[in-house]
Amino acid sequence: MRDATAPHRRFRPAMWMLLPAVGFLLGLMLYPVSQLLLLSLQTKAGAWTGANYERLAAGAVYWRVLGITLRCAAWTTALSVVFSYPVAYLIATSTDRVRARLTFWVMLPFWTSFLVRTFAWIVLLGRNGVFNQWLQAIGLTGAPLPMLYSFPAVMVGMLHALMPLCVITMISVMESIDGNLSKAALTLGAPRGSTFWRIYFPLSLPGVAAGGLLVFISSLGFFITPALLGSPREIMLPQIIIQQVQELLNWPFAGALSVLLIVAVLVVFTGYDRVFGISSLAGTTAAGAGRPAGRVTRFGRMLLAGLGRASDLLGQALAGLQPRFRGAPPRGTRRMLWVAGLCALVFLALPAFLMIPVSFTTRSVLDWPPRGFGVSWYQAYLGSGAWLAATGRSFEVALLTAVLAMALGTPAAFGLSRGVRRGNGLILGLLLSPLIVPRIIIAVALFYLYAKLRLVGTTLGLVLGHTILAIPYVVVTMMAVLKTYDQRYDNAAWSLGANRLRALWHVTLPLLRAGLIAAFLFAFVTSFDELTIALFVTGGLETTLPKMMWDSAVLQVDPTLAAVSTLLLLLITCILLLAGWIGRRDRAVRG
Amino acid sequence: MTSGAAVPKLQVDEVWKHYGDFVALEKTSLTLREGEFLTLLGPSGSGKTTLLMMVAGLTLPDGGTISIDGKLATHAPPFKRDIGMVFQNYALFPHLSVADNIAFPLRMRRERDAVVREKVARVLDLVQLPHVADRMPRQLSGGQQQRIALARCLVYSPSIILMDEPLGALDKKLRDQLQIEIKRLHRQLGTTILYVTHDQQETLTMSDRVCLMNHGKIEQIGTPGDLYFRPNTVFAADFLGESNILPARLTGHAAGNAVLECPTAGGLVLVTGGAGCLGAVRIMVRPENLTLVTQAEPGWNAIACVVKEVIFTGSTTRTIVETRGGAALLVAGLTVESELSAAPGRSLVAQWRPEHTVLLPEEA
Repeated sequence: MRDATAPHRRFRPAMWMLLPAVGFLLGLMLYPVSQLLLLSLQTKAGAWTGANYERLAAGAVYWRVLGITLRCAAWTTALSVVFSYPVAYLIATSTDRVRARLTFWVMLPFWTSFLVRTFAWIVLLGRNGVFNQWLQAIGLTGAPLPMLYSFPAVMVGMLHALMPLCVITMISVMESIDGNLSKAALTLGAPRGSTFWRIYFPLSLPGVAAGGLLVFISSLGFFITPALLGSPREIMLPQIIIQQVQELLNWPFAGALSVLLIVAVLVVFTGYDRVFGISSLAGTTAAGAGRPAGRVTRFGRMLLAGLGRASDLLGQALAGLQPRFRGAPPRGTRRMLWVAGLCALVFLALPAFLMIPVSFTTRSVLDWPPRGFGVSWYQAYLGSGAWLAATGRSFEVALLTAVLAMALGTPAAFGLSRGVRRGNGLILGLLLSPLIVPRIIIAVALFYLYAKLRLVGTTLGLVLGHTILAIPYVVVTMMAVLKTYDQRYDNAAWSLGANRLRALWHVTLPLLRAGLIAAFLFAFVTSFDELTIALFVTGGLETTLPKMMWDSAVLQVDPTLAAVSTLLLLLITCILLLAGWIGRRDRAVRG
Repeated sequence: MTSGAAVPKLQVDEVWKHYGDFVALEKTSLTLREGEFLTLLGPSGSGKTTLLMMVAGLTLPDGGTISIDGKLATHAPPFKRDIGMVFQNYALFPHLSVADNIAFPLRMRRERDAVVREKVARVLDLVQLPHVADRMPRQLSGGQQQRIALARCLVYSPSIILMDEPLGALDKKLRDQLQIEIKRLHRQLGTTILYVTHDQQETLTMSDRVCLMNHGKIEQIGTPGDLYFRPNTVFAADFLGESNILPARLTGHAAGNAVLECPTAGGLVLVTGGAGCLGAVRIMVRPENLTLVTQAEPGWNAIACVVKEVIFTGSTTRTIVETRGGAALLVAGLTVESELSAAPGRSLVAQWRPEHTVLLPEEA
């Protein structure tokens, strides 16, 4: 290599690696979304106007819906953070074996379809649902309580849908907290309460904030859960947008509502960036560890010191009450943590399994307990051309999406993790933006674009749409893997005479195989489970499995859905076990 | 100290720990005197860290007792033991400034703010870093961070300071510098220190006494000199310093010397004052006690050998020779330029004094 060209040679490959993904997202996401937002300033005929916003400002109903949306999101966030923290703490502080097992039970619902989980709550909370049966059986209530179609039902559903995301985000930060810090605090004379509140908790705060942010932003774009579990009083902004587009065909006003939603997201996001910095989203711990304390931090510390002192005193009191067996130390705290953690895990994992017994019922309604035993609902599924076609189409779209997202996302991850340049942050922001922009807005914008390009109802259109959503998962997964990849393996391969392509094929890719498979599965499942974009982009008979489930659920929730859910659960379990097995085998081979 | 002089700072009595089938520590006893610097030395998995963690209260023993300052502390939580601990990776709290880190143990002891400020300033002077009080730990170099970690322990004058390979993460030059500094602080403050390391040079430099550990039990306790000059076992002889170890048979005694038959050395060997059962034993000679000559002096042990390799390392030269019995011996001596030419293949005699032979029991 000639020296004079070295800087260019180093610059260009990284650029080329980033270009496809960046171009893809600019063209298929940023462009249509900005088109949609611009529409809000136009009349239906295309003239410039502020009428849409005047209507928005004047319509009390929209502000109320915005209020409901924010209230739902805030409650979901608060509850998620509170319930996720003990689970994440338990998992992060367990031994490797236990951690792997517990993580599986958090991931299982994470990967299980939103729809399946929502159906499970219908069975649990319904008039003749599990809880009502129990309550009546033990005589707490004479008549069934109206639990479904209410704010608490929506809360439970959303919490269930989003808690895994929160737990996983918190774990990634907690795992990076050095275990010696708590030990050091103990040896320096801090009782367990003070150690937790003064040392561990402040260091885990970036994880709490990141988890909370992701939950808040995700819940702003939710419509499945409120639509299926809520009443008209729980209607959320995305539902109004859908209504404007699908029923009223009022694109400009849908654009104005989208602006409202995006502004809400941006406000939250900016606030987060001010306090914690966006970079802490990537899982780096202890944001602000390089900064001296400001006034807010000092107040927070005093608060935490007080909490620490309070729990120390509580601990002392409890230790005094507890009979001591041969001087053994109190293990009560850890036991309480296990109880809390297992309760949360049961809450997360169990509902999906409920669909299994229900699917074998011989009755024609989804209720509890299932009567008889029959496979008629599986026969109904397998005998229906429409269900099978939808399943086949979902597989096809998910496979194509995974391939395309890998082809675009993997080079981008390489480009971002190898070349350190200005502008990387901006590019990463763009690549991750599909996670942040509410899905409903992407879906509506794509629908508008596709209508002009005649892509509505085509497989290509759906694959492109799903790829937008899958790219961030591929990029994040691959960047995490590449962070631990030692580039000297490549250098060694080059020095041994391999050219770049052969080094990539024989050395880099085999070493990254587990990560590549994980990213592929991530992309596959993202597409396989996707409903929002499918709802808009698939037309007529050409439907996917989630869309089919949704359509039939909106009409009537019958046990066919339970049968389909059971099969989906089986598929996801197989995929998770397979991924885990490949990961373990790869680690075992390398030692 | 008034009456406390007789009470040991630390008394470990028959503590043990198993993890399933793995024996982390067999029944072990150990005493630490006030002001003593005791090093737990051993390879990884020898039980030294387990023992330290038990003293710290971060691991609980399956049996036995631990007393600190005469008070039973076997099951006491770490925060009630009045110990200090320095970790290999410093374990400075990343969200607190240097001053807040050092103030942490004082605040836990509910000292008044004025006292805290004064003590923090004083200890920062002591570790010669008065200017970094307001910095965050990440802004310091590795060596500075470890000094702050040390200051955080010194500031509240705990009964015992425990150090778990505190210099393991630092480079050679800094390690040497900090060894001397820790030693200085130890002398100046009269602190009692229990130190864990696997670095033998560090051990010899710093310790008052060394506790050599292997396979979950104590192999030998003594001063660095004891362990170096009078090792009790082959492991001790091999682990600390360099050694030539040869199999031999104790055949009898003559004129205060034990007489051994050493086939690999190709003859008889004398050991001063060597007492023991007749039969299979091992002998050990330090490389620096061997000299290469053409003609052995009378009364010295001598082995005929052939030079295999001459390694010039600067002030010393190391020569590897092979005996007629086929054993390789390492000979180390101050470099003499003219002898550097001792060409491989030359036949010489390796000789040493009988008192420099150490008799070791055959390994079980």
